[in-house]
Amino acid sequence: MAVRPIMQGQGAVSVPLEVRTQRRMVHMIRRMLAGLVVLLVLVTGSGRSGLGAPAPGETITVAMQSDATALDPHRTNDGPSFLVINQIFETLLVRTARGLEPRLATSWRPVGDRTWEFKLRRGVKFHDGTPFNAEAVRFSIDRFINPQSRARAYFVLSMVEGAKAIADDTVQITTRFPFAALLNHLTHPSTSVISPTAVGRFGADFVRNPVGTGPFKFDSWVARDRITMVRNDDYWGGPPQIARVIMRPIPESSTQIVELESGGVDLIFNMPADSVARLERNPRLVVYKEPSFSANYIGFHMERAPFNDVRVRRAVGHAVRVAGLITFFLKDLATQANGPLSPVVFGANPDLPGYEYDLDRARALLAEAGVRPGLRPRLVIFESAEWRRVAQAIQASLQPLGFQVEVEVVEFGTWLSRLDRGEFEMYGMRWGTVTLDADYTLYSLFHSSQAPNPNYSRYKSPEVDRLLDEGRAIADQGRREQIYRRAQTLIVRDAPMIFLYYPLSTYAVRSGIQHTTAPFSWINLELRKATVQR
Amino acid sequence: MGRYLFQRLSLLVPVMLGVTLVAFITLHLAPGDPVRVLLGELGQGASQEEIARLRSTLGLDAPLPVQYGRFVWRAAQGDLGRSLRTGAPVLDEVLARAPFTLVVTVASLGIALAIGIPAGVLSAAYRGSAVDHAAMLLALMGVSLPVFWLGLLLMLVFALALGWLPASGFGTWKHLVLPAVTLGLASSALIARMTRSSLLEVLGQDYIRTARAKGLSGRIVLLRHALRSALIPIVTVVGLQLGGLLGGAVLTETVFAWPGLGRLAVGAIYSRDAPLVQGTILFTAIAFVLINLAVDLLYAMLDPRIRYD
Repeated sequence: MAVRPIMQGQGAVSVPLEVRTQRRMVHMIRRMLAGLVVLLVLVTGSGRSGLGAPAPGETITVAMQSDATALDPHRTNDGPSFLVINQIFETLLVRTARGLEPRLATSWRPVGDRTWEFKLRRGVKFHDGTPFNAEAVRFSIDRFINPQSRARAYFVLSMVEGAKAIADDTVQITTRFPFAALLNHLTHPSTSVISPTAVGRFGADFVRNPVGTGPFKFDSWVARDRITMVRNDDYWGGPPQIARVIMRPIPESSTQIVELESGGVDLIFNMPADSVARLERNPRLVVYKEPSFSANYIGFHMERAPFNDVRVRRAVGHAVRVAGLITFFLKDLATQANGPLSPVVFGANPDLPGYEYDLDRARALLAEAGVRPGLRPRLVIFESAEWRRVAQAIQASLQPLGFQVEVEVVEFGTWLSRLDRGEFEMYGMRWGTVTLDADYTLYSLFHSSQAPNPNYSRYKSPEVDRLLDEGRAIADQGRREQIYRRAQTLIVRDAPMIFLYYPLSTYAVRSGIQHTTAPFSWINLELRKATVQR
Repeated sequence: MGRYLFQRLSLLVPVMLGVTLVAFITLHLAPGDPVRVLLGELGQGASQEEIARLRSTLGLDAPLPVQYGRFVWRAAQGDLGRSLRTGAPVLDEVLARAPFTLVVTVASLGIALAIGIPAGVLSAAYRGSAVDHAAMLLALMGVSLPVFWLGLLLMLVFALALGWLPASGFGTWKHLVLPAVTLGLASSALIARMTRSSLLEVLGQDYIRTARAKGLSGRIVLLRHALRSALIPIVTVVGLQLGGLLGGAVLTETVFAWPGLGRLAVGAIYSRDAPLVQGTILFTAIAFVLINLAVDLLYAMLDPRIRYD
């Protein structure tokens, strides 16, 4: 290892100075200082790269929690990437509060029981001038489901057999089995239509050179600092008012808030519950709260005592005062849940009874099940301020029933593997219905074929299985809705989990910026109609 | 000298093998499936078959020794692989981030030296006076304040209240001020205390008395003769601090959204991005070994009795 000089003790023989070393030292220090100056000038001077001449008009700067990983819709499955992808690319259909709506497809109809035919919007061009047509859609879908593509979100279209261009503006997509939720799956940002020409030109570098049909064109990406997009003047829906959109990864939410208040950024998402009230009082800001496609649950291990008994699970449902939890812990940034699906999801059942807060009923159920006080169930949650609070509330709620809940906080990766291996009695989970169709959530969480993951509760009900299989296979949306409502009634009755709340999707904007929307999730931020008055 | 350098540099190989092996093993001992973490909250609906498919396309289904062997074999040829998350070459990612961390580290070290050494010299020169006590009290505070908290406080004052500096990001010299000051203040406190104690020790020695006896002025004795000997332990501290600053950079970079290596490493660890973790650790280890070497060579310049041949 390193040779360290022996420190001289008191009274060591002193050595006369050598002028030569002294000069050398001064010289060295000067050189080092000069080098430092050069380095500083170099790095700070070259801070901005890839910026062309600024387009006339307004810029909106958006803060995100972390940097995008890839801007190729097929190569990513994280929120920040989708947030950017949603500005540059478009899907065939979109889900709004009114239901399914056309985007790049103008109409659609079933052909047989495994095929859907789509009529495409005419006269649309990709940012590189390539015409958008049936061939581009076929290319996109085939590339997405090709194993070579290593599509991160493959699960979204894993049921697709292939796509076929019938005419220039007509495309057919065929599934391997009858699959009614396909239309909803085609609203997922990973199914965005990409420019075949650009993929051919950039190859693997398409992840950093995205080309779509969206309202904004990709301009530059400075890793971990900013992604810049500019207005698409040829956008088929008319050019946006905003000239430039900048997305900046700012990991620390306190920093995001300071940036928003000081005008460094114009829009932030998912503020901590405690700061929302303060931001709302600021006259220069507007806070939006919208329903989201997510839901938060406390699930049970159904194959292990004490929660293998439905009465014990229901007792927990009656012991938790969700309304109080939402008011005091979440500052009203959530609505109480009555079942597994947020009301914005297709097939959600609005008439579910839910579990009323009733401690006497809970105690009676436990007595009936023969559960004695003193049990110490483990509740496994992943690290987040919100979950810590919820876990504390659960702990306090179950105390009167004689449960001493042991909360175990682990990071996301560990949490997943604990759930896979069944090392828990209870678990906290947040689930987003990204396709906005009941099938996505109900099939994953409650179909017996999906145990132990993602059906972590190990819920197995032949009747529910049958309903879920049927709901997938039929095309009639009215009947599907009935089937899913029935399935949810059974699921709530069996209580594989207790359904706590649907978090609201929150974002804060500098006042003067209007007509921004983020339907169901921050990843769906739309700026195509946004206006700015500063 | 040449032989010594060669010996020290050849140490790099076992060090690199060691750190990557430890990183590799720790990363794979940590519970959690990298593929599931990769899919994240938006991909919870992926079925087991779909996950298995993604795992094999990413080459994560090979036995661990095979995976590590592949990594070493490719690394030896200068290929650190690609990030699981972004698909970008790891080497590019690391090299693109390194200058940012280097700049913030060097700037904060400059601030630390510019504050720490004068404060230490003053303290030692006026030992026991009000100046001494004030400087040491400040130093105590500097050491005790958490970097994270200090950073946010500075941001609230200078970015929000006064509006003089940008709160986060990079691009102009103004962006560098807050992260560098945040990181430098804690170091300056340590350097001040070190300078003071080391100077006081030197000032008690015979040759200083001799110098004074020759009638040299107090200032020249202090700054020419004493400080030079006193610098030796300070160099050690600065070397150690440099390593520490690389670590402190993680928090500072997070608070100020500064796109450096620290954030890269933390993000990589969180997302179980093994190739990227290996790359950042390799880079940091090499930097450490080289800094140590530079410190040892500096001794020889400062203290002619030390020879490395």
